[in-house]
Amino acid sequence: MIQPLVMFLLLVAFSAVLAIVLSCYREDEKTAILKGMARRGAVFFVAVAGFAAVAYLMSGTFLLPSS
Amino acid sequence: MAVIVPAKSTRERIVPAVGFSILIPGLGHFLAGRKKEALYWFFACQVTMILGMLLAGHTQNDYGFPFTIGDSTILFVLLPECGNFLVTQIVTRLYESIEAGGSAPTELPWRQFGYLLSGVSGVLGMFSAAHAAGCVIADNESIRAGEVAPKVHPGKAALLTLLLPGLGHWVTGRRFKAYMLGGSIIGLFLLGMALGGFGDFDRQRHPYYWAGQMMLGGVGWLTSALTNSIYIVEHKTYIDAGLLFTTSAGFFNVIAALDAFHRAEQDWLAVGTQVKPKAASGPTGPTGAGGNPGAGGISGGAGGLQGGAGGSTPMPGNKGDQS
Repeated sequence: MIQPLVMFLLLVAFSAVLAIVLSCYREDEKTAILKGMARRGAVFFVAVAGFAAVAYLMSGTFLLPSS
Repeated sequence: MAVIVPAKSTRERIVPAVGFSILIPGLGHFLAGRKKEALYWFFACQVTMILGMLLAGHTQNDYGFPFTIGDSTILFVLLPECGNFLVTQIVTRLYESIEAGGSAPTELPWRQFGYLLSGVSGVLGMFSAAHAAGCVIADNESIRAGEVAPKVHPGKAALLTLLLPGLGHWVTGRRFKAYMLGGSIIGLFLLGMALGGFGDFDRQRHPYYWAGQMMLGGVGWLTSALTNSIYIVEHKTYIDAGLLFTTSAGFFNVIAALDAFHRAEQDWLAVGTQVKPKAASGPTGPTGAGGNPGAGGISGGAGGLQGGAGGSTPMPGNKGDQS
């Protein structure tokens, strides 16, 4: 059984790594990397969480198979 | 910060070096005048490929995609072996998988190691192209008088990243990035492996993911060798997340290698200026003859650091020994 909390933590972990890699690729200075990390990580997290929320709502409403 | 690009003549040499390296690893180095390194790359890639194919009974073919016209296969896509392109095309045409003869891959106890070796061959083939490009830059963009040559050329920085994520940045003095990239990529990979019960680095179970996982380089290859006897016997709840993480770690390492190459290239070009090709400079390089003309004399307005050294600035010797 998939636990929502575990999925949340996995998304946090993946967002953080993605943000680190992208920031290190885009920037070369420590302060710029740290600044970019927070922004990129947050954007990715919100985007994926947003898609998940929309999918969840749709699956419980008009995508629900009618009986 | 402004990006410095190699001179046009250097860029024109990089393209064939990269292309021929993918075709046959080592050929790009050979054309760039690095004959010894050409031999190393050629044998490293071909020995691992042939040995891998033999150990796995050519069952690698079962994971490829042939593109055919009529009865003729014009292209056989096998990832990541295709990084060693020409030999992959030849071997997959000459030999059939033992499965075609009715045998099962499970009859070959060393097949996983065979997959690992042939995969390593392909990944090394791809990185040989980066290394060849770095050699071309190092040989054609010499260091200005009074400047210190960077420790490594761009190709070596990329190659070190393949050995260990972050190592390419470490040797170029970017310790913070090395910690961040190395820690995050290896951490993501290990977390993914743990989610999959350390049994999901397996070509037979996940051939598509496996191709991406192989791009992690040394850490991934070592993990694969150590865990290839682990079989998953129960359902793992988060195995999909594990596969995503391990495969992403491989792709992230490619991004890290690209960055290591780019940063090392910038370091090199920042203290360098273009010199004549080896053939034009003579076998002992420009040293001793009063030096090469500086940047403005030769680069022809195509990039590099053209505002740097003056036309009569003495240049250090040929840069083959500095890379």
